[in-house]
Amino acid sequence: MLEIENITVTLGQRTAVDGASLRVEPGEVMAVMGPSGSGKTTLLRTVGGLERPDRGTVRWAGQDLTGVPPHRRHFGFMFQDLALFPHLDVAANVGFGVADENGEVDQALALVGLAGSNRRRVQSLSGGEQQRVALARSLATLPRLLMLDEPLGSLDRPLRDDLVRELREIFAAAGLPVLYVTHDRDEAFAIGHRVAVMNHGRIIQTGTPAELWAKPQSEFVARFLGFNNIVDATLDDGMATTPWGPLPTTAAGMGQVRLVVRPDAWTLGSGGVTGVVARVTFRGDHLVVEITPNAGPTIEAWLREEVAVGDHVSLVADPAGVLFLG
Amino acid sequence: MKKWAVAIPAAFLGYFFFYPLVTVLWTSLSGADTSIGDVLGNAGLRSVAWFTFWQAGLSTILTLAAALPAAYVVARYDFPGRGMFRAGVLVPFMLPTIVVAAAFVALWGPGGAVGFRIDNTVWAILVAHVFFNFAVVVRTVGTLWQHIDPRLEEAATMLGASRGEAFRRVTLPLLRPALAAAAAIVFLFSFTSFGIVLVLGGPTTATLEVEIYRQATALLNFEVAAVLAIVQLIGVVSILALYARFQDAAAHSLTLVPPRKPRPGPERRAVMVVVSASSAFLLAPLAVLVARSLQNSALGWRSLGGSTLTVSPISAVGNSLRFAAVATAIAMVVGLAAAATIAYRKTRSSRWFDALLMLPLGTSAVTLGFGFLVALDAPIDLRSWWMLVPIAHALVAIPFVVRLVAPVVRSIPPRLREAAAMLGASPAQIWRRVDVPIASPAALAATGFAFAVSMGEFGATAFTARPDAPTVPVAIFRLLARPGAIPFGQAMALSVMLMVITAAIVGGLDRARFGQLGRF
Repeated sequence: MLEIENITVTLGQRTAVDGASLRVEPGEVMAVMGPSGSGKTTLLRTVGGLERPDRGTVRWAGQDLTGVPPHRRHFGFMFQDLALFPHLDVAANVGFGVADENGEVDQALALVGLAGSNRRRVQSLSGGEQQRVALARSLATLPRLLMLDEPLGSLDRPLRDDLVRELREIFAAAGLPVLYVTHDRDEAFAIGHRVAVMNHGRIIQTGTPAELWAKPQSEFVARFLGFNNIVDATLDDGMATTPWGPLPTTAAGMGQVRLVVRPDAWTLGSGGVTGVVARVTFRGDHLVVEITPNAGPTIEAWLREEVAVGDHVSLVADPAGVLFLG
Repeated sequence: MKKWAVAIPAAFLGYFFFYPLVTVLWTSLSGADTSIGDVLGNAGLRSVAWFTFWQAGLSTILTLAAALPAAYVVARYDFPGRGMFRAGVLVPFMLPTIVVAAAFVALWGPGGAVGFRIDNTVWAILVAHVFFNFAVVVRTVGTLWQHIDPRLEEAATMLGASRGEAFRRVTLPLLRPALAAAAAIVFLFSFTSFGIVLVLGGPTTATLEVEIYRQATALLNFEVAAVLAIVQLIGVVSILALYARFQDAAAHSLTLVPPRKPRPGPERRAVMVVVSASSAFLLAPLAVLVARSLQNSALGWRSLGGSTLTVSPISAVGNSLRFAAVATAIAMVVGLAAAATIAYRKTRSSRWFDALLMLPLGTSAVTLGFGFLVALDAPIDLRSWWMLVPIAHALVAIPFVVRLVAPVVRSIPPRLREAAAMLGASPAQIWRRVDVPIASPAALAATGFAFAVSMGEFGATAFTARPDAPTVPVAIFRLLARPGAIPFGQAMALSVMLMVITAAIVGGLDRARFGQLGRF
């Protein structure tokens, strides 16, 4: 459907997107996630035709879109700052791109739960309502692809969680491919059928949320997922020798590796890595515990057991949560 | 449209502004009878320059002293009639200077409402300047003051500062850009004040502006007038340069603090004293003006159709309305084209163009009129062409049009145009459906503003209006100069009429909430 092939975009002196490639299939929600400045927004704007790539092509159903101006692409775009027209009311904003002969405005407003708000001024709406109007506006034109740039960026957490759930239903109802940009891991995992991780203008890994969680391929992705227990290790037939001591793994083979222990893989148990609890943060169903081991770098563990700062503990790692990078 | 838009303002300003200005400069340099040295060495002219300078300085200090309490009260307190007070202080500023002058003549000129006369003294000029510029301080300083969180002062007192110290070390530094900008503007207006000085100063008092007029029209001393105009221009450009620096410094981003109700007791009494004293000061001259127009069973109004001047005073109203309509049309065509050029092109040359467009704002109206007089005799002699009056008015109004419209167009987030494009709008449709509707309130405000400017313009009109087709301000000036109850009453009546027309336009704009658009 949408094919982004080896796109490079330079903004002034800076290479914002550096040889990025991505495919979005019909009906698929693709979340693009990465830290700010990683080029996600520029990638989106390039697909929309708002930026011109130096190299590479954007294709839709096989057709090269280079040279097709934004207003002829029939893509929907929801901007981070929403870009609602301040001189128009809700209905006129939503209806900007349609003739409204078939009640598209009312349909789009109903879809986002704002039926009957047609004549309200956009300035009088709450942040969440403005978000919905912007979404309805980009849906009303019945675009063949919907792009969203940090659509929930400015909202606070509880409202975001609600809207994420709603967005998923709206995307499913609309049945169109979606390209969704966010810097938030949880949001990307909740929204995306697949997630593309971006850094320094490159797409460094693409996969379903479960695939990413199970097999981050680089240290950057691992750290972005919140996996900070990363060390060099020597692998020898199912056992890894790490600075913390030996850890059992599911991998066969031998050699030098970069090894990650997922924080949820640790549990308390005898005969493991010993250390002292340095910091404890309560997270509801688990504790985020930082342990200073007798040897090796600080360990982060998500524990369900009760521990307190100063406790001497022994940690064992579930072999399924011991991963290798690269 | 963007390619050729620059040609209209360039051609218009080139021929009707820069060419006359250069001719004035040339006249001042090439004087056969008078050299620059002669003029600058002349003790009488030097004292005119010195007087211009110190009266402007004193006017500025007095205006700040008189208007700062009102600025503070408006910024901090919510009191009954606050909205009306805020809008009301603008009225004197929007009034034509000739009406301000007439109002003060009514107050303490011959047979004035107060028992004593101070016309023909510098005090009359100073008070009139305070009256006229009051709004500049209230609006400029008050607006910034409104954005300074009082909790900052509270934080300072929690850190051990006394209240006075907290004001001096926190509020005052934050307020300084606005104070400096307001002072520069008041100084500029007082420095180039013409109508007020001409009418209230009497025959022996002259600022540079008045002296240029006298040298050029009464003494026909074009070379002396030209030298004075250049001296004046240098002064004005220096002040504007200072002002521009303060404007840059004023770009603090602070949040608006809503005003609160004053606490009962001394605080409420103090607010009431400031509001009523300021209101009385701003209303009294205008009330007296109306009252004196009604003296002798409204003799002035009844005799407006008579032939006191070479033509009837009432005919001046028709002239003014006609000129204002033409001037507004010219100012809008040229001003909108210029605004588009500035707003859509972000090149270095467009910034230069922006600065050039502001020059007519700084150039005194008298210099503009004088420039027409010395420059527009060749290749075709345009000096008695009726269109010169509206053209001069348009020159005065164009910077305002640009200042009102260009920032609005420029502030349209590029994202809005991109959003429109993503929704299927072509570039032409984006312009028609996004840019035009967003800019049109500002353009409407500019139209009203240009009309009001034209109705009240006096300095340039004094040079360009033909004796048989005076505008209302010119007619008021000529009537005030004549002895007798009938001309005086007519001057009062015309002043009231001009005041009402101006106030109606300004009130209409303020009601439509265009008041907050742009700055002066």
